[in-house]
Amino acid sequence: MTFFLKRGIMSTMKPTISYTDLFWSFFKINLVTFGGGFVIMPIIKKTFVERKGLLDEAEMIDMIALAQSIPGVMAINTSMLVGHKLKGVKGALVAMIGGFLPPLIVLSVISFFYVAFQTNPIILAMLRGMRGAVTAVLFVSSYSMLKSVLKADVPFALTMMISAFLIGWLTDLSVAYLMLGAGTIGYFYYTHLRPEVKA
Amino acid sequence: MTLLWELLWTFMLIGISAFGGGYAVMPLIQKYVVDGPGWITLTELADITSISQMTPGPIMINAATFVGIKTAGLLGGLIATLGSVIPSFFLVWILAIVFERHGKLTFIQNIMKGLRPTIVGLIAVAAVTLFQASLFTSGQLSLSTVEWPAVMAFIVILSLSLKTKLDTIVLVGLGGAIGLLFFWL
Repeated sequence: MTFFLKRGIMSTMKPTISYTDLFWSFFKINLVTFGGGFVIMPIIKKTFVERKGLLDEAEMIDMIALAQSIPGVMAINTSMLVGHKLKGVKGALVAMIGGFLPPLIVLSVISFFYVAFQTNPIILAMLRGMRGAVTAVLFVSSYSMLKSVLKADVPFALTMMISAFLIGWLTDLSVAYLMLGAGTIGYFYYTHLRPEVKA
Repeated sequence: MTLLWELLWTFMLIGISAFGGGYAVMPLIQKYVVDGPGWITLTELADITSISQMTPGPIMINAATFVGIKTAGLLGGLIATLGSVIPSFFLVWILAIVFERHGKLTFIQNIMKGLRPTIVGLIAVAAVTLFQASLFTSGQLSLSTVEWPAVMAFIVILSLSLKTKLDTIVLVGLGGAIGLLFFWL
C-alpha cells in the first residue's frame, strides 16, 4: 500500500538533482569534451535534457543563447546558468567548480611534460579515438537541437540558421557581433514586421 | 603573494573582456600575459593553443591553468582559473534572475527568437569543424589523410548514442579504447 502511495507521489514530482550529482555531471562532461564552447554546450544538453530529463530542449537553447550575452568562458557560463536554474546560486557555484576542475587537473599534470605528451604514439592513438567519439556525440545532440528550433516559423528560423552557419564557417567574425546582429534582427522582425506571431 | 593577486586580477580582466568565447580570447591573453608582464613567451602561447586542441576543457581555462602554474605553481593555476570565471559568475547570477523574472516579456522573446536558430547554426559550424579536424590528419580533406581509428570510433559511437542513453564519459571512453585497439592491431 505504502509502496503504491510512494510511487504515486514520486511520479507527479518534478525530477530533482542533488549538489553531488550536479557536480559530477559537469565534472564528467568537462573531463572528456575536447574543443571549445560550442562542442561542450550540446553535450551539457545531452546530459540534462536527454539523460536526466531535468530541462527541456527549448530551455537549454535559451540558456546557451543567454550565455553568449555575457563575457567569459561560454561553456562555464552555460554550466552556471544550468546550475542556477536547477539549484539556485549555490548550484551555479557547484556547476562552475565541476566545470573548471577537470581541465585544471588535466593541464596541471600535462604542463610538466607536455612535449612527451604531444609526441607519445599511444596517447595520440587514444586521443584520436576519443575525438572521433566526441564528434559523434556532438552530431547526435546538435541534430535534436536543430529539430527543436525548426518547430515554429520555419522560414525565418531556417534563414537565420543557414546565415549563421555560413558566416561562422566562412568568416572570423566574433560570435559576440553575430549574436548582437541576430538579436537585433529577431527584435525588429517580430516586433515590427510580424507582430502577429506569438512567442 | 603579490604575484597571486596580480594573476587573479589579470585573469579577471581577461574574463570580463572576453566576449564570444573560444579563440577570441587569445589576443587578450597575448596582450595581458605575454606583452605585459611577460609571464609566458609567444611560443608557449602557441603551445597552449595546440595542447588545448588535444585536452578537454575550454581554451581560456587551459591558458589560465598553464600561466598560473608556470608563474606561481599549482596554487597559481587555481587562482588564475578562478580569476577567469569569477566575473562571469556574478554576471550569470544577475542575468539568471533577470531572465527568470522578465524572460516572458514579448520584446525579450522576440530577441530570443533571433538568437535560437543562430546558436544552432554556430553549433553546426562547431560540429563540421570538429568532424574535419578529428577524422582527417591536420584537417586536410582527402582519402589519404583519413584517420581510420577516429572514423571507426565515430561510426561506433554514433550508432551507440542513437540507440542508447549511455553517459558521454562512457561513450568517449569507448572511443579511446577503439583508438588504442587500432594502435595495437
